[in-house]
Amino acid sequence: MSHQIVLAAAAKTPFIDWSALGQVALVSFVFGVAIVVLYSVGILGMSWARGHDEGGEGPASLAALDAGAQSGSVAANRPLGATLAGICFLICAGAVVYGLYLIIPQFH
Amino acid sequence: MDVSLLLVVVIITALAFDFTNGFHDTANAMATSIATGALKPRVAVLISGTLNLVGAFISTAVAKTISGGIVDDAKLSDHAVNGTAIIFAGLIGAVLWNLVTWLIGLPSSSSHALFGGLIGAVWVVVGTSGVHFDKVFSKILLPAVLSPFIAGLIALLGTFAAYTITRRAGRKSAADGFRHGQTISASLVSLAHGTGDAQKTMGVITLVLIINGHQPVGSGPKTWVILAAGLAIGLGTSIGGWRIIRTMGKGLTEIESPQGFAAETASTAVLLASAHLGFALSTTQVCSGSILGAGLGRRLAEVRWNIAGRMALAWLFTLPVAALVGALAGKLASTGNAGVVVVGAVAALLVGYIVVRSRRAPVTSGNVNDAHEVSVRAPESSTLAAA
Repeated sequence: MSHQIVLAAAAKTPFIDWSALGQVALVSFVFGVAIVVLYSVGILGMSWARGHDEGGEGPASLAALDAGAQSGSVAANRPLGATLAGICFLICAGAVVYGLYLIIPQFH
Repeated sequence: MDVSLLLVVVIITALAFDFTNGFHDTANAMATSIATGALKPRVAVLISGTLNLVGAFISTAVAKTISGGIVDDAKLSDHAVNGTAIIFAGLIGAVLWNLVTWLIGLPSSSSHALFGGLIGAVWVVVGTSGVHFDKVFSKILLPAVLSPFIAGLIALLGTFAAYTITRRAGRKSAADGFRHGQTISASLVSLAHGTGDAQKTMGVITLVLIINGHQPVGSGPKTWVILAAGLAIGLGTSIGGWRIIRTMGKGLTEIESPQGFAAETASTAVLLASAHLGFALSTTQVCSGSILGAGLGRRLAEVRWNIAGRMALAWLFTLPVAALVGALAGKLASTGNAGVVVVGAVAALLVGYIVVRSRRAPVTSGNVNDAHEVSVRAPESSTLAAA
Protein backbone atom coordinates (compact mmCIF):
# COMPACT_ATOMS: atom_id res chain seq x y z
CA MET A 1 0.00 0.00 0.00
CA SER A 2 2.66 2.51 0.99
CA HIS A 3 4.62 1.41 -2.05
CA GLN A 4 1.70 2.37 -4.26
CA ILE A 5 1.51 5.75 -2.59
CA VAL A 6 5.14 6.43 -3.34
CA LEU A 7 4.72 5.32 -6.95
CA ALA A 8 1.68 7.46 -7.47
CA ALA A 9 3.35 10.46 -5.91
CA ALA A 10 6.40 10.01 -8.08
CA ALA A 11 4.30 9.72 -11.23
CA LYS A 12 2.57 13.00 -10.34
CA THR A 13 -0.75 11.62 -11.46
CA PRO A 14 -3.89 13.02 -9.87
CA PHE A 15 -3.85 11.13 -6.65
CA ILE A 16 -5.94 11.15 -3.54
CA ASP A 17 -4.56 9.65 -0.38
CA TRP A 18 -7.81 7.98 0.61
CA SER A 19 -6.24 6.01 3.45
CA ALA A 20 -4.87 9.15 5.11
CA LEU A 21 -8.21 10.85 4.67
CA GLY A 22 -10.02 7.85 6.11
CA GLN A 23 -7.66 7.79 9.08
CA VAL A 24 -8.21 11.48 9.75
CA ALA A 25 -11.97 10.99 9.60
CA LEU A 26 -11.95 7.95 11.86
CA VAL A 27 -9.50 9.24 14.48
CA SER A 28 -11.16 12.64 14.73
CA PHE A 29 -14.57 10.99 14.84
CA VAL A 30 -13.60 8.74 17.75
CA PHE A 31 -11.88 11.52 19.69
CA GLY A 32 -14.35 14.26 18.87
CA VAL A 33 -17.43 12.33 19.91
CA ALA A 34 -15.86 10.44 22.82
CA ILE A 35 -14.58 13.59 24.52
CA VAL A 36 -17.96 15.28 24.26
CA VAL A 37 -19.70 12.18 25.66
CA LEU A 38 -17.21 11.86 28.52
CA TYR A 39 -17.36 15.53 29.36
CA SER A 40 -21.16 15.47 29.31
CA VAL A 41 -21.22 12.46 31.64
CA GLY A 42 -18.78 14.36 33.86
CA ILE A 43 -21.14 17.32 33.97
CA LEU A 44 -24.03 15.02 34.80
CA GLY A 45 -21.97 13.49 37.61
CA MET A 46 -21.02 16.89 38.93
CA SER A 47 -24.64 17.89 38.89
CA TRP A 48 -25.53 14.80 40.93
CA ALA A 49 -22.72 15.52 43.34
CA ARG A 50 -24.04 19.04 43.87
CA GLY A 51 -27.54 17.69 44.38
CA HIS A 52 -29.16 19.01 41.22
CA ASP A 53 -28.47 22.69 41.43
CA GLU A 54 -31.66 23.67 39.68
CA GLY A 55 -31.46 27.15 41.07
CA GLY A 56 -32.60 28.80 37.91
CA GLU A 57 -29.44 30.89 37.74
CA GLY A 58 -28.73 29.49 34.31
CA PRO A 59 -29.40 31.68 31.31
CA ALA A 60 -32.81 31.55 29.70
CA SER A 61 -31.30 30.27 26.48
CA LEU A 62 -30.73 26.95 28.14
CA ALA A 63 -34.45 26.39 28.40
CA ALA A 64 -33.94 23.12 26.60
CA LEU A 65 -32.29 21.77 29.71
CA ASP A 66 -35.10 22.92 31.97
CA ALA A 67 -37.39 20.00 31.45
CA GLY A 68 -34.91 17.52 32.80
CA ALA A 69 -33.65 19.51 35.74
CA GLN A 70 -35.85 17.89 38.34
CA SER A 71 -34.43 16.59 41.55
CA GLY A 72 -34.46 12.86 42.05
CA SER A 73 -33.11 10.81 44.92
CA VAL A 74 -30.32 13.27 45.37
CA ALA A 75 -28.45 12.14 48.43
CA ALA A 76 -27.85 8.59 47.22
CA ASN A 77 -26.28 9.83 44.01
CA ARG A 78 -23.75 12.20 45.49
CA PRO A 79 -20.68 9.99 45.99
CA LEU A 80 -21.40 8.21 42.72
CA GLY A 81 -21.72 11.53 40.94
CA ALA A 82 -18.46 12.85 42.33
CA THR A 83 -16.59 9.69 41.34
CA LEU A 84 -18.10 9.69 37.88
CA ALA A 85 -17.26 13.36 37.35
CA GLY A 86 -13.73 12.85 38.65
CA ILE A 87 -13.01 9.98 36.29
CA CYS A 88 -14.54 11.67 33.25
CA PHE A 89 -12.82 15.03 33.77
CA LEU A 90 -9.53 13.26 34.39
CA ILE A 91 -9.75 11.48 31.03
CA CYS A 92 -10.69 14.76 29.34
CA ALA A 93 -7.70 16.46 30.97
CA GLY A 94 -5.56 13.64 29.64
CA ALA A 95 -6.93 14.30 26.15
CA VAL A 96 -6.01 17.99 26.47
CA VAL A 97 -2.48 17.07 27.47
CA TYR A 98 -2.29 14.69 24.51
CA GLY A 99 -3.54 17.52 22.28
CA LEU A 100 -0.78 19.79 23.60
CA TYR A 101 1.71 17.00 22.95
CA LEU A 102 0.55 16.82 19.33
CA ILE A 103 0.67 20.59 18.84
CA ILE A 104 4.08 21.26 20.39
CA PRO A 105 6.81 19.77 18.20
CA GLN A 106 9.46 19.90 20.95
CA PHE A 107 7.68 16.97 22.63
CA HIS A 108 8.30 14.55 19.79
CA MET B 1 18.87 48.63 -5.52
CA ASP B 2 16.35 47.13 -7.86
CA VAL B 3 15.93 44.08 -5.67
CA SER B 4 16.15 45.88 -2.36
CA LEU B 5 13.01 47.97 -2.85
CA LEU B 6 11.05 44.91 -3.89
CA LEU B 7 12.47 42.96 -0.97
CA VAL B 8 11.34 45.53 1.57
CA VAL B 9 7.91 45.78 -0.06
CA VAL B 10 7.53 42.00 -0.09
CA ILE B 11 8.40 41.63 3.58
CA ILE B 12 5.92 44.35 4.51
CA THR B 13 3.26 42.68 2.34
CA ALA B 14 4.01 39.29 3.88
CA LEU B 15 3.53 40.72 7.36
CA ALA B 16 0.33 42.42 6.19
CA PHE B 17 -0.90 39.07 4.93
CA ASP B 18 0.01 37.50 8.26
CA PHE B 19 -1.96 40.23 10.01
CA THR B 20 -5.06 39.63 7.86
CA ASN B 21 -4.61 35.90 8.40
CA GLY B 22 -4.86 36.32 12.18
CA PHE B 23 -7.59 38.90 11.80
CA HIS B 24 -9.61 36.62 9.54
CA ASP B 25 -9.17 33.46 11.57
CA THR B 26 -9.89 34.69 15.11
CA ALA B 27 -13.43 33.62 14.41
CA ASN B 28 -12.44 29.99 13.87
CA ALA B 29 -11.35 29.55 17.44
CA MET B 30 -13.33 32.14 19.29
CA ALA B 31 -16.64 32.87 17.52
CA THR B 32 -18.64 30.25 19.40
CA SER B 33 -17.07 31.16 22.76
CA ILE B 34 -18.02 34.77 22.19
CA ALA B 35 -21.53 33.88 21.05
CA THR B 36 -22.28 31.72 24.10
CA GLY B 37 -20.74 34.19 26.50
CA ALA B 38 -18.09 31.69 27.63
CA LEU B 39 -15.60 34.49 27.17
CA LYS B 40 -16.03 38.24 26.92
CA PRO B 41 -15.33 39.36 23.33
CA ARG B 42 -12.17 41.30 24.12
CA VAL B 43 -10.84 38.63 26.46
CA ALA B 44 -11.45 35.95 23.83
CA VAL B 45 -9.50 37.68 21.07
CA LEU B 46 -6.71 38.57 23.49
CA ILE B 47 -6.34 34.92 24.56
CA SER B 48 -6.44 33.84 20.95
CA GLY B 49 -3.83 36.40 19.92
CA THR B 50 -1.50 35.47 22.75
CA LEU B 51 -1.78 31.77 21.92
CA ASN B 52 -1.10 32.54 18.25
CA LEU B 53 2.09 34.33 19.28
CA VAL B 54 3.10 31.48 21.58
CA GLY B 55 2.32 29.00 18.80
CA ALA B 56 4.55 30.91 16.39
CA PHE B 57 7.47 30.49 18.76
CA ILE B 58 7.07 26.85 19.78
CA SER B 59 6.91 25.67 16.21
CA THR B 60 10.45 25.89 14.88
CA ALA B 61 10.33 23.61 11.87
CA VAL B 62 9.33 25.84 8.99
CA ALA B 63 7.38 24.13 6.24
CA LYS B 64 9.73 22.99 3.49
CA THR B 65 7.52 24.39 0.78
CA ILE B 66 5.54 27.58 1.22
CA SER B 67 2.72 26.26 -0.92
CA GLY B 68 2.70 22.61 0.07
CA GLY B 69 3.79 21.59 -3.43
CA ILE B 70 0.95 23.35 -5.24
CA VAL B 71 3.31 25.59 -7.16
CA ASP B 72 6.84 24.62 -8.05
CA ASP B 73 8.86 26.35 -5.34
CA ALA B 74 12.08 25.48 -7.13
CA LYS B 75 10.96 27.63 -10.08
CA LEU B 76 10.59 30.59 -7.72
CA SER B 77 14.26 30.45 -6.78
CA ASP B 78 15.26 30.14 -10.45
CA HIS B 79 17.41 33.08 -11.56
CA ALA B 80 15.58 33.27 -14.89
CA VAL B 81 12.39 34.47 -13.21
CA ASN B 82 11.79 37.14 -10.63
CA GLY B 83 10.58 34.90 -7.83
CA THR B 84 10.33 37.82 -5.43
CA ALA B 85 7.83 39.57 -7.70
CA ILE B 86 5.76 36.38 -7.99
CA ILE B 87 5.60 35.97 -4.23
CA PHE B 88 4.74 39.65 -3.88
CA ALA B 89 1.87 39.28 -6.35
CA GLY B 90 0.61 36.14 -4.63
CA LEU B 91 0.56 37.94 -1.30
CA ILE B 92 -1.31 40.91 -2.78
CA GLY B 93 -3.98 38.59 -4.16
CA ALA B 94 -4.35 36.90 -0.78
CA VAL B 95 -4.48 40.14 1.25
CA LEU B 96 -7.13 41.68 -1.00
CA TRP B 97 -9.29 38.55 -0.95
CA ASN B 98 -9.00 38.35 2.84
CA LEU B 99 -10.12 41.95 3.22
CA VAL B 100 -13.01 41.69 0.77
CA THR B 101 -14.37 38.59 2.50
CA TRP B 102 -13.88 40.29 5.86
CA LEU B 103 -15.88 43.29 4.63
CA ILE B 104 -18.85 41.10 3.74
CA GLY B 105 -18.32 39.06 6.93
CA LEU B 106 -17.57 35.72 5.36
CA PRO B 107 -15.03 33.24 6.69
CA SER B 108 -12.70 31.91 4.01
CA SER B 109 -9.40 30.10 4.08
CA SER B 110 -6.35 32.37 4.20
CA SER B 111 -4.17 29.51 2.99
CA HIS B 112 -6.34 29.00 -0.06
CA ALA B 113 -6.17 32.72 -0.78
CA LEU B 114 -2.36 32.57 -0.60
CA PHE B 115 -2.23 29.47 -2.80
CA GLY B 116 -4.61 31.14 -5.26
CA GLY B 117 -2.52 34.29 -5.46
CA LEU B 118 0.67 32.27 -5.96
CA ILE B 119 -0.94 30.04 -8.60
CA GLY B 120 -2.11 33.08 -10.59
CA ALA B 121 1.25 34.81 -10.39
CA VAL B 122 3.24 31.67 -11.26
CA TRP B 123 0.87 30.90 -14.11
CA VAL B 124 1.38 34.23 -15.92
CA VAL B 125 5.09 34.58 -15.19
CA VAL B 126 6.39 31.00 -15.41
CA GLY B 127 3.58 29.26 -17.29
CA THR B 128 1.40 26.28 -16.50
CA SER B 129 4.44 24.07 -15.91
CA GLY B 130 4.98 25.89 -12.61
CA VAL B 131 1.59 24.88 -11.24
CA HIS B 132 0.83 21.34 -10.09
CA PHE B 133 -2.83 21.06 -10.95
CA ASP B 134 -3.17 17.53 -9.57
CA LYS B 135 -2.12 18.90 -6.17
CA VAL B 136 -4.64 21.70 -6.53
CA PHE B 137 -7.29 19.02 -6.73
CA SER B 138 -6.05 16.64 -4.06
CA LYS B 139 -4.83 19.26 -1.56
CA ILE B 140 -7.33 22.07 -1.98
CA LEU B 141 -10.55 21.11 -3.75
CA LEU B 142 -11.13 17.69 -2.26
CA PRO B 143 -10.36 18.61 1.38
CA ALA B 144 -12.46 21.75 0.95
CA VAL B 145 -15.45 19.64 -0.01
CA LEU B 146 -14.91 16.91 2.58
CA SER B 147 -13.68 18.71 5.70
CA PRO B 148 -16.93 20.55 6.50
CA PHE B 149 -18.82 17.26 6.30
CA ILE B 150 -16.40 15.35 8.51
CA ALA B 151 -16.27 18.09 11.14
CA GLY B 152 -19.99 18.75 10.82
CA LEU B 153 -20.95 15.13 11.38
CA ILE B 154 -18.77 14.89 14.49
CA ALA B 155 -20.17 18.13 15.88
CA LEU B 156 -23.72 16.98 15.09
CA LEU B 157 -23.34 13.72 16.99
CA GLY B 158 -21.45 15.48 19.79
CA THR B 159 -24.18 18.08 20.16
CA PHE B 160 -26.86 15.44 20.20
CA ALA B 161 -24.95 13.45 22.82
CA ALA B 162 -24.26 16.52 24.96
CA TYR B 163 -27.93 17.52 25.08
CA THR B 164 -29.16 13.97 25.61
CA ILE B 165 -26.72 13.12 28.39
CA THR B 166 -27.07 16.36 30.33
CA ARG B 167 -30.85 16.55 29.96
CA ARG B 168 -31.22 15.55 33.59
CA ALA B 169 -28.33 17.59 34.90
CA GLY B 170 -28.78 20.85 36.76
CA ARG B 171 -28.72 23.55 34.20
CA LYS B 172 -26.20 25.75 35.94
CA SER B 173 -23.76 22.86 36.18
CA ALA B 174 -24.31 22.15 32.52
CA ALA B 175 -24.01 25.72 31.27
CA ASP B 176 -20.89 26.43 33.34
CA GLY B 177 -19.31 23.10 32.55
CA PHE B 178 -19.74 23.42 28.81
CA ARG B 179 -18.47 26.98 28.85
CA HIS B 180 -15.27 25.93 30.61
CA GLY B 181 -14.80 23.02 28.24
CA GLN B 182 -15.40 25.26 25.26
CA THR B 183 -12.76 27.73 26.43
CA ILE B 184 -10.20 24.96 26.66
CA SER B 185 -10.87 23.46 23.24
CA ALA B 186 -11.01 26.92 21.65
CA SER B 187 -7.61 27.67 23.15
CA LEU B 188 -6.20 24.50 21.64
CA VAL B 189 -7.50 25.57 18.21
CA SER B 190 -5.78 28.95 18.66
CA LEU B 191 -2.49 27.39 19.65
CA ALA B 192 -2.57 24.96 16.73
CA HIS B 193 -3.40 27.87 14.44
CA GLY B 194 -0.35 29.78 15.63
CA THR B 195 1.97 26.85 15.03
CA GLY B 196 0.61 26.36 11.51
CA ASP B 197 -0.24 29.73 10.03
CA ALA B 198 2.46 32.00 11.46
CA GLN B 199 4.91 29.47 10.10
CA LYS B 200 3.61 30.02 6.60
CA THR B 201 4.57 33.70 6.63
CA MET B 202 7.97 32.88 8.14
CA GLY B 203 8.45 30.45 5.28
CA VAL B 204 7.52 33.11 2.71
CA ILE B 205 9.87 35.75 4.15
CA THR B 206 12.69 33.24 4.55
CA LEU B 207 12.27 32.08 0.94
CA VAL B 208 12.39 35.69 -0.26
CA LEU B 209 15.56 36.32 1.75
CA ILE B 210 17.13 33.17 0.29
CA ILE B 211 16.18 34.08 -3.29
CA ASN B 212 17.80 37.48 -2.82
CA GLY B 213 20.98 36.01 -1.40
CA HIS B 214 20.59 37.41 2.10
CA GLN B 215 20.78 34.01 3.73
CA PRO B 216 22.09 30.61 2.61
CA VAL B 217 19.88 28.09 0.85
CA GLY B 218 18.27 25.66 3.27
CA SER B 219 18.71 27.82 6.36
CA GLY B 220 15.92 28.43 8.84
CA PRO B 221 14.11 31.66 9.60
CA LYS B 222 16.02 34.40 11.37
CA THR B 223 14.94 35.44 14.84
CA TRP B 224 13.54 38.78 13.69
CA VAL B 225 11.46 36.97 11.09
CA ILE B 226 9.97 34.63 13.71
CA LEU B 227 9.30 37.57 16.03
CA ALA B 228 7.77 39.76 13.31
CA ALA B 229 5.57 37.00 11.92
CA GLY B 230 4.40 35.94 15.39
CA LEU B 231 3.61 39.52 16.35
CA ALA B 232 1.79 40.22 13.08
CA ILE B 233 -0.53 37.24 13.37
CA GLY B 234 -0.98 37.75 17.12
CA LEU B 235 -1.82 41.43 16.62
CA GLY B 236 -4.24 40.64 13.81
CA THR B 237 -5.94 38.04 15.98
CA SER B 238 -6.19 40.33 19.02
CA ILE B 239 -7.79 43.11 17.03
CA GLY B 240 -10.34 40.57 15.93
CA GLY B 241 -12.26 40.32 12.69
CA TRP B 242 -15.59 41.07 14.36
CA ARG B 243 -17.53 40.88 11.11
CA ILE B 244 -16.50 37.26 10.59
CA ILE B 245 -16.93 36.46 14.29
CA ARG B 246 -20.53 37.63 14.03
CA THR B 247 -21.25 35.44 11.01
CA MET B 248 -19.70 32.34 12.56
CA GLY B 249 -21.00 32.83 16.09
CA LYS B 250 -24.45 34.24 15.30
CA GLY B 251 -25.07 34.09 11.58
CA LEU B 252 -24.90 30.41 10.75
CA THR B 253 -27.00 29.34 13.72
CA GLU B 254 -27.77 30.41 17.29
CA ILE B 255 -25.15 28.68 19.39
CA GLU B 256 -25.70 27.52 22.99
CA SER B 257 -22.88 26.40 25.23
CA PRO B 258 -23.29 22.59 24.71
CA GLN B 259 -23.23 23.22 20.96
CA GLY B 260 -20.25 25.50 21.26
CA PHE B 261 -18.39 22.85 23.21
CA ALA B 262 -19.30 20.09 20.74
CA ALA B 263 -18.31 22.30 17.79
CA GLU B 264 -14.96 23.36 19.25
CA THR B 265 -14.12 19.83 20.32
CA ALA B 266 -14.97 18.48 16.87
CA SER B 267 -12.78 21.18 15.27
CA THR B 268 -9.91 20.45 17.63
CA ALA B 269 -10.12 16.71 17.01
CA VAL B 270 -10.27 17.07 13.22
CA LEU B 271 -7.51 19.68 13.03
CA LEU B 272 -5.10 17.83 15.31
CA ALA B 273 -5.77 14.49 13.62
CA SER B 274 -5.33 15.95 10.15
CA ALA B 275 -2.15 17.83 11.04
CA HIS B 276 -0.71 14.78 12.76
CA LEU B 277 -1.62 12.32 10.02
CA GLY B 278 -0.38 14.60 7.26
CA PHE B 279 -3.63 15.39 5.52
CA ALA B 280 -3.87 19.11 6.14
CA LEU B 281 -7.35 20.60 6.22
CA SER B 282 -8.36 24.24 6.24
CA THR B 283 -9.06 25.56 9.75
CA THR B 284 -11.79 27.83 8.43
CA GLN B 285 -13.63 25.08 6.63
CA VAL B 286 -13.36 22.64 9.53
CA CYS B 287 -14.64 25.18 12.06
CA SER B 288 -17.50 26.36 9.83
CA GLY B 289 -18.54 22.75 9.27
CA SER B 290 -18.48 22.09 13.01
CA ILE B 291 -20.70 25.06 13.72
CA LEU B 292 -23.23 23.96 11.10
CA GLY B 293 -23.18 20.43 12.49
CA ALA B 294 -23.73 21.76 16.01
CA GLY B 295 -26.66 23.76 14.69
CA LEU B 296 -28.23 20.67 13.17
CA GLY B 297 -27.53 18.55 16.26
CA ARG B 298 -29.88 20.55 18.47
CA ARG B 299 -33.46 19.79 17.71
CA LEU B 300 -35.36 22.66 16.15
CA ALA B 301 -32.26 24.81 15.99
CA GLU B 302 -32.32 27.09 13.05
CA VAL B 303 -29.52 26.88 10.52
CA ARG B 304 -29.49 29.83 8.16
CA TRP B 305 -28.77 28.07 4.92
CA ASN B 306 -28.63 31.28 2.92
CA ILE B 307 -25.60 32.40 4.95
CA ALA B 308 -24.07 28.92 4.74
CA GLY B 309 -24.63 29.00 0.98
CA ARG B 310 -22.97 32.40 0.64
CA MET B 311 -20.04 31.07 2.65
CA ALA B 312 -19.72 28.02 0.39
CA LEU B 313 -19.81 30.33 -2.61
CA ALA B 314 -16.98 32.40 -1.12
CA TRP B 315 -14.92 29.22 -0.73
CA LEU B 316 -15.56 28.38 -4.37
CA PHE B 317 -14.35 31.81 -5.47
CA THR B 318 -11.36 32.08 -3.10
CA LEU B 319 -8.87 30.37 -5.35
CA PRO B 320 -9.91 31.75 -8.77
CA VAL B 321 -10.31 35.35 -7.61
CA ALA B 322 -7.05 35.39 -5.63
CA ALA B 323 -5.40 33.77 -8.67
CA LEU B 324 -6.78 36.46 -10.99
CA VAL B 325 -5.54 39.26 -8.73
CA GLY B 326 -2.22 37.44 -8.30
CA ALA B 327 -1.88 37.07 -12.06
CA LEU B 328 -2.51 40.75 -12.77
CA ALA B 329 -0.21 41.85 -9.96
CA GLY B 330 2.44 39.34 -11.04
CA LYS B 331 2.40 40.54 -14.64
CA LEU B 332 2.79 44.13 -13.53
CA ALA B 333 5.27 43.59 -10.68
CA SER B 334 7.68 41.54 -12.77
CA THR B 335 8.18 44.48 -15.15
CA GLY B 336 10.39 46.23 -12.59
CA ASN B 337 10.35 48.77 -9.81
CA ALA B 338 7.70 50.96 -11.42
CA GLY B 339 5.39 47.97 -11.71
CA VAL B 340 5.95 47.06 -8.08
CA VAL B 341 5.17 50.59 -6.97
CA VAL B 342 1.99 50.65 -9.08
CA VAL B 343 0.81 47.30 -7.68
CA GLY B 344 1.62 48.41 -4.14
CA ALA B 345 -0.15 51.74 -4.59
CA VAL B 346 -3.28 50.20 -6.15
CA ALA B 347 -3.41 47.57 -3.41
CA ALA B 348 -3.00 50.21 -0.68
CA LEU B 349 -5.84 52.25 -2.22
CA LEU B 350 -8.11 49.22 -2.32
CA VAL B 351 -7.26 48.34 1.28
CA GLY B 352 -8.07 51.91 2.30
CA TYR B 353 -11.34 51.81 0.39
CA ILE B 354 -12.37 48.52 2.03
CA VAL B 355 -11.54 49.82 5.50
CA VAL B 356 -13.54 53.03 4.88
CA ARG B 357 -16.43 50.94 3.53
CA SER B 358 -16.40 48.79 6.67
CA ARG B 359 -16.86 51.91 8.81
CA ARG B 360 -20.30 52.50 7.35
CA ALA B 361 -21.68 49.52 9.23
CA PRO B 362 -18.99 48.71 11.77
CA VAL B 363 -19.00 45.52 13.79
CA THR B 364 -17.09 45.81 17.06
CA SER B 365 -16.52 43.89 20.27
CA GLY B 366 -19.45 45.85 21.66
CA ASN B 367 -22.08 44.93 19.09
CA VAL B 368 -20.77 41.63 17.72
CA ASN B 369 -23.54 39.61 19.38
CA ASP B 370 -26.36 42.07 18.70
CA ALA B 371 -27.31 40.86 15.24
CA HIS B 372 -26.63 37.96 12.94
CA GLU B 373 -26.19 39.85 9.67
CA VAL B 374 -23.14 41.77 8.53
CA SER B 375 -24.41 44.54 6.31
CA VAL B 376 -22.52 46.32 3.58
CA ARG B 377 -24.06 48.73 1.13
CA ALA B 378 -22.07 48.03 -1.99
CA PRO B 379 -21.43 44.54 -3.36
CA GLU B 380 -17.84 43.39 -3.37
CA SER B 381 -17.81 43.07 -7.15
CA SER B 382 -16.95 46.75 -7.59
CA THR B 383 -13.76 46.41 -5.56
CA LEU B 384 -12.79 43.21 -7.33
CA ALA B 385 -13.30 44.70 -10.75
CA ALA B 386 -11.02 47.54 -9.80
CA ALA B 387 -8.34 45.10 -8.65
